[in-house]
Amino acid sequence: MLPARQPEKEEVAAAPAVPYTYCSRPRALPARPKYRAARDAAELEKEPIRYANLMYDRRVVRGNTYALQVVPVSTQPSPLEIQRQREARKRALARKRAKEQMQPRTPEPVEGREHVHVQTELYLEEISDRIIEVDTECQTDAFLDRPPTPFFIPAKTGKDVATQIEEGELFDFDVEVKPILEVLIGKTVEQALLEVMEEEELAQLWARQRAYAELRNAELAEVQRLEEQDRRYREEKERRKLQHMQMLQKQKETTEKIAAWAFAQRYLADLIPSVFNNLRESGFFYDPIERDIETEFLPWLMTEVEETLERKVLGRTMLDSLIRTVVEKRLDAFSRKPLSDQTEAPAEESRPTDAPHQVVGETDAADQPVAEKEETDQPVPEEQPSRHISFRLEESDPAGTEDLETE
Amino acid sequence: MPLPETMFCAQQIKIPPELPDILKQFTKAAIRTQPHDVLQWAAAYFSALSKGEPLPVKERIEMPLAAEKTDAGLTPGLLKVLHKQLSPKGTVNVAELKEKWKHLCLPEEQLKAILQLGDFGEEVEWMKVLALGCSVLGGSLLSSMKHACEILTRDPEGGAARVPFETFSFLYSYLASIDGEIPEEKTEAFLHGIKEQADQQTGMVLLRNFLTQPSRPF
Repeated sequence: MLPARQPEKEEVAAAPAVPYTYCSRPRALPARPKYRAARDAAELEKEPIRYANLMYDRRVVRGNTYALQVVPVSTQPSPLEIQRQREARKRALARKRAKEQMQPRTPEPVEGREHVHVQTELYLEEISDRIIEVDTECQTDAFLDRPPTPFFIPAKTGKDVATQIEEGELFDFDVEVKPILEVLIGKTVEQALLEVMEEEELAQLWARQRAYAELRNAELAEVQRLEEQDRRYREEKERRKLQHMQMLQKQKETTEKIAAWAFAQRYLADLIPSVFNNLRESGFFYDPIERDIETEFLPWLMTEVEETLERKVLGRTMLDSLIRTVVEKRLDAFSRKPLSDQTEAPAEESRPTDAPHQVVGETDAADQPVAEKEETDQPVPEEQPSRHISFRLEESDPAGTEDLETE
Repeated sequence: MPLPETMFCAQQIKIPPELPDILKQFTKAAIRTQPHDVLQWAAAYFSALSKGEPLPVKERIEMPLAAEKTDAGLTPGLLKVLHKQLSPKGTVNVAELKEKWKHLCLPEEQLKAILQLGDFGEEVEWMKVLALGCSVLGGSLLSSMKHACEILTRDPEGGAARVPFETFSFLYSYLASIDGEIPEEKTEAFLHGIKEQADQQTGMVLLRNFLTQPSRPF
């Protein structure tokens, strides 16, 4: 590609001179044509070079490359491939064997012996062809011209004198010990004094502090006591007040109760007499005999009286009917003789006002008083309500007839 | 001075290593106790130290009161020293007591007076002597009781000097009996009052329990 690039490069280079030149200029890649062009075709026709977009280049790997796992087309090798591998292996083995056989070897051990690898040295030594070489050199001293000079000892001058130290002269204990003692005693006393003073001061401070603490405790105790006392007084007062309040409350309630009681009494003073009056008026207090008489005797009496009266009435009606029938018969009898019965006709005409027309149709013999009574009973209730009671007459027939007879 | 070896220089002088410490303690004790006779007291000190007995040393330096110009006798500190020395024994021999008394450079007449007060024989009960000593110190009964409490208490100084009630009642009744002027009922009543207060304070009697009672006749 480079030769083809050259004219372009030169063209660009002809532009304003850039301070930096590339070894190989960065270039955009042209698109790879889908079909392979013939070799001479690229030289002959100069198509406009199309630049490809990197994003759409099939040569660029897509996706993450760190997790890219190259998976073979098939997870298991095809039988053909397997066979090929096997053959390859066999060939390799054969080659190896041949190579081994070509190598010169030590002869096999004689009967009864065995070849063994032995290490003769203590330490492992590297066996190599290269010989280890070490350089050393040596140098003699330079020759001296003259020997060293001897020490200078001046000639002796002056006089020899000797002296002797007696015992006790060098060292006098009392004198020597004095400074020590001074220091010792002095320091001791001084130190003692200091210490005593310090201790004393400390002790005093502590004593003062404790005394103060004592006082404070005492005061605190006193304060507490007073507080306790105060609290107790307050509580007592509260309790007394409460008590008093309760008492007052009770008193109030009591007075109210009394007032209410008095009022109620007065209010209800009339209640009893009025109640009793009402009751008496409504008849709750009754004399049992009187009541008994009223409830039983009198109704019975009334009924009896009614019966009696009814019987009387019945008797009269019977009598009336008898008379009527008799009169009618007589009328009939006399109607055949019309002249002689004209005096009794108005008497008969007055009678039928008592009995209705039906009686005329049902004229039976008077021998059957019961039947007639029944007949008369039927029309009677229709006429006058007072004759309703006559139903009872059926029951009290013998009594009725007796009354009739007595009357 | 003849020395075992010839010494040639001061550096060869050897000081015993314990000596400075002993000297210091002794000096401090002397400063605190302020004995009138240093030699006597020093002898007592070292003998007690060597025997392992309680030392005749005051615990606090006691400034002499201005009223006592002359060499006064018993002071509370000295009484405390005596108590420290003699209380473990309970009952002491009179001779021993005299000896200890002398060691502290106290006047003998005072001791005699005390012993006469108590009508003691050969053996004396230390607590009674203590009580009498306190009475010498303090003018009134209550002040002597105050001294006694301060001496006997185990509390640190300055704090409430607490004493067990039994001790207090013993001392008080003894002193009251010695005094002779106070009737027994009053003693009983006083002690009873104190006991009530002590019961609230785990059986201990405090100074303020009996000092702040101005209503008492004594």
